[in-house]
Amino acid sequence: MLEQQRSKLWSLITGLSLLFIFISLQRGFASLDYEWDFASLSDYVWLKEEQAPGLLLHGLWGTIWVSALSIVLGTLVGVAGGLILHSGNPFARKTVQVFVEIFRNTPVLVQLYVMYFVIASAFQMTAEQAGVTTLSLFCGAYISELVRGTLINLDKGPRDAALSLGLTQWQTARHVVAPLALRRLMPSLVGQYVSLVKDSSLVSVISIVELTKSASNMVAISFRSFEVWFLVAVVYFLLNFVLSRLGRSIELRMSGDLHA
Amino acid sequence: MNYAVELMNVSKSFKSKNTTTLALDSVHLKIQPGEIVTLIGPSGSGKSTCLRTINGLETISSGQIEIFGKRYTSQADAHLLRRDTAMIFQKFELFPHLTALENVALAPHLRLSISKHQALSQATELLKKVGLSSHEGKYPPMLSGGQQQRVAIARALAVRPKILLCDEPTSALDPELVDEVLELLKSIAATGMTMIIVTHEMRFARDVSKTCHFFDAGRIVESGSTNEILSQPKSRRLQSFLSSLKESLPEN
Repeated sequence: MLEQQRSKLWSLITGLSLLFIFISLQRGFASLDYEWDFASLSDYVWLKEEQAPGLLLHGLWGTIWVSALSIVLGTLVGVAGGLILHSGNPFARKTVQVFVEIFRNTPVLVQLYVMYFVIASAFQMTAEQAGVTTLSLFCGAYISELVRGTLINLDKGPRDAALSLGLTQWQTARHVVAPLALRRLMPSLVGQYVSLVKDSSLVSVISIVELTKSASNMVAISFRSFEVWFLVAVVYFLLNFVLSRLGRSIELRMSGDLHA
Repeated sequence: MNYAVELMNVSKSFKSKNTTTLALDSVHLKIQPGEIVTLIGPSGSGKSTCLRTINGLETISSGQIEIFGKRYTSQADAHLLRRDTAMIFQKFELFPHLTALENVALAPHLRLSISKHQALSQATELLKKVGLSSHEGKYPPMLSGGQQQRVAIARALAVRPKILLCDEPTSALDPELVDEVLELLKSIAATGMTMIIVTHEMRFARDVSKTCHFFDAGRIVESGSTNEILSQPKSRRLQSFLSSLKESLPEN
């Protein structure tokens, strides 16, 4: 009974909130006095004459590969960092701690500038290399902490059981600790990935072609800034929505057996 | 002849900020192959720690431990000395990401160079032995405590141990599930397995073991035949421990 009443109450609250948002948007658009023209953006999506992808799709591809590469490298950095934080020797641990603190406590934008203008010129790196390196390290710093936290809170029982059966440290890590840690890690890992995709918009400042960079170019050409940014927001949303769903389905597949 | 397990002057201390706790204090213990020994004592008396040191799950501060004459030297090769032992835990400690069958098959497959197929069919046999054939495909959280502990016992037997270490195997079970586990342990005892059992079940201790050691404050305070220990305790400490148990347990 109580449960039913509560769910009714929630439906009501949700409905009212949606109504309020809708009315606000409606009033906002009405007072804007702006003629919307999404059709004019079609050329930026697909060039009909050349039969080739337009600016937006170029940008989307840029965002996808920069994010994907940074996610993979960032995860490698993070897992290594987390393992060292959890059980490395004191010197290595201190080093990783310094790395984590630096990358977590400064803005990515500043990190990008430093990487591109100072470090990249010292090592002859391209803008793309500098951008991906920065995002990977930034992402890796956060994941290091996630991995460390997960390992600390992991139940030691199954590990002891595996060792007591005569498995080596490596076999225990590979077949017992890693699967259990991964399923704990998965939700926060997906959150980290989603936020990385959004942060990848910042590499536009070092002139890497990705969605945000393409968007500003599109605005510069078409002067249709409302439509362009609206469209770009939708594309980012879709990208991350797919990523979250993917993560969620992996998560469910891994933990389906845990809660029968 | 070698002892199955021999502890020589084993001590272990835990250091926290400014206090040092002596968990084991110069423990001597000799166990013959095929012998079944119970360790009793109040909580925190060191009996579980003692069992875990035998399996290398706890490091020791000083002393020597030998399993069939082989000596523990470092944590790194501890897995080699664990090859003669297997352990049963108070809270079962099954692998929650594997089915009952896979729990039993994992270690033999990885350790005894048995093919996966062979390991699984051997696991099927063992689960049948512990009466859980119909639960093969279930994950640990789907099983009752008693069933989980029986899977854990099958998992321990799967690595063909010569010594079975049992750490309060029934303490985490609901009272009505205790018997199924104790009966199973008794049937294993009857096969001639060397067993070291930490337990609070005095009746079980009397039924299953000839020798019993009473721990208090990290030391073995009294040792002897289980019957004598339980019916004619000599030390005052053991007397008060047993009488505190009698209040909660029916006498047989």
